[in-house]
Amino acid sequence: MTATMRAVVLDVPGRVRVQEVPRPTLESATDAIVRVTTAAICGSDLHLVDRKIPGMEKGDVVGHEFVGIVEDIGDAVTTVRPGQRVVASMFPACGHCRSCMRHQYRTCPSFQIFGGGPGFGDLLGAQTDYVRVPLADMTLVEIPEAMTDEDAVFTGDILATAYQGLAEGGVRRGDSVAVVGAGPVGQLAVMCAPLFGVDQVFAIDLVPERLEAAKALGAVPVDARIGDPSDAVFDQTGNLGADVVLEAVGNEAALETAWSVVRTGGTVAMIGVLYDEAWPVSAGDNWLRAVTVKPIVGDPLTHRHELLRLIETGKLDPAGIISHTMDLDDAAEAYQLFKEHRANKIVLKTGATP
Amino acid sequence: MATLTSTDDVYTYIGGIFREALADPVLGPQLAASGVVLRLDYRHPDAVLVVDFPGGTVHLGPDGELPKANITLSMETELAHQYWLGRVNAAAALAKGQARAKGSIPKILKLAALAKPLFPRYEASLRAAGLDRLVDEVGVR
Ligand SMILES: [Zn+2]
Ligand SMILES: [Zn+2]
Repeated sequence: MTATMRAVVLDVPGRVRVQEVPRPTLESATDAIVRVTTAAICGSDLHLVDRKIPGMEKGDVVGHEFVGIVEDIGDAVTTVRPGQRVVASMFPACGHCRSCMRHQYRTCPSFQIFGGGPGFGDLLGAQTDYVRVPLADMTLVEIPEAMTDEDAVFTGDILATAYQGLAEGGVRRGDSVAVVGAGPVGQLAVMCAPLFGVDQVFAIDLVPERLEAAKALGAVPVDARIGDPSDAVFDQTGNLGADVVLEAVGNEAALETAWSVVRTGGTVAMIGVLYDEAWPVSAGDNWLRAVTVKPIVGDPLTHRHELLRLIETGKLDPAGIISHTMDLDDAAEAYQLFKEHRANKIVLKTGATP
Repeated sequence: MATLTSTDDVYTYIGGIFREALADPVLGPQLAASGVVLRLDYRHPDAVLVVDFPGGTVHLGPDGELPKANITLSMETELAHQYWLGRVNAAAALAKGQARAKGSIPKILKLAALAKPLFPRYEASLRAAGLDRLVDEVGVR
């Protein structure tokens, strides 16, 4: 009889449930099995569950942000060993192909996203008790002993995504930055901005709690319910607009806002998940504005070591944005809270301990 | 640099040049085809104009019912005045933050180019009113 475990799975579109599924086993010599201790819920999980990104079927396991203990490793795994506490990159990659050499992991032949559905490699998700981790040497990294799961889990996706937006967005010291969407990713971008020499960050959102959270992290809050966000940004940038804009929502309204606040010659980094949205301006309009566009998938593999170090040295405090710590069994309720903006960031605990 | 001194002047001379443009047999249809309803927010002196190109009407604000604009430009009145005298590079003014634009940049630049034949008429309208000073006093920016 196969052993089973709990997993958060798609129930009906828009809803998850916790159910028993077969426990994964090693399938390849480069795999590891990780006993999950902490898994976080991400905005992209909602996109998948709500089927904005199509492909997830009833019973598919979700989740790509996780920390755990290495339980078992394949014969070819050399850099992690059982018993180690590790954080995973939200996607595995091979580490030696042409794309990986260029840090363009998205086009690595081995690129898959945990719990990303059939469109992203059909790899099972990580909001579970156990998860199979392909290419464990690349995908996993040990967590410094003194660091909490709650801090480390952010380096597997959203902290790396926010940081990557600023890095790839080409932010320079003294630039003004606008973040469209003050959810967890936007808040982390605000948190990271001083590391790039930025002291003026606008956080644009419609949700008062999110604006408050961004403000507490040092952002200038811009409430898009009250006026045109571009007025606030242009008024406070000498009528120029923001040098770099991070679109951290992933919908057409947010794209429109992003293009309305970017300066001529500025950059829009698209860090929100997009699927089939139209461009907010014509190609010619974009050319005339000389706006550089960067579509970004967060890159934990490139940035996790520096991020772990920045957390260790107290320069970043990602766990500070967690509003709810809940049991994996309560995932359905957690998703609902997150979807309704009644929770800022939720981590699920499996109850497993090192 | 000398500029229009009152809101009424803005409505008379800048409003006037838009009315001329709309009435022009060649330019009028080209402007109408743009589909643009242009709102202009001027400062010092403050004035609001909404030019409905398809509708062929110029509305003077800020009070009263104004048509909904699909392009908005805001700037110092002086910049608008200099523009109509043919002394402003529209694209550069936007990039430098002298003017703020909301809406399609290609349409704005196209309108700016279409307006070129009207520059002498704007100048003429000021001279006809004895406002030569506004044309001849060219300050150094
Ligand atoms: Zn995520
Ligand atoms: Zn590769």
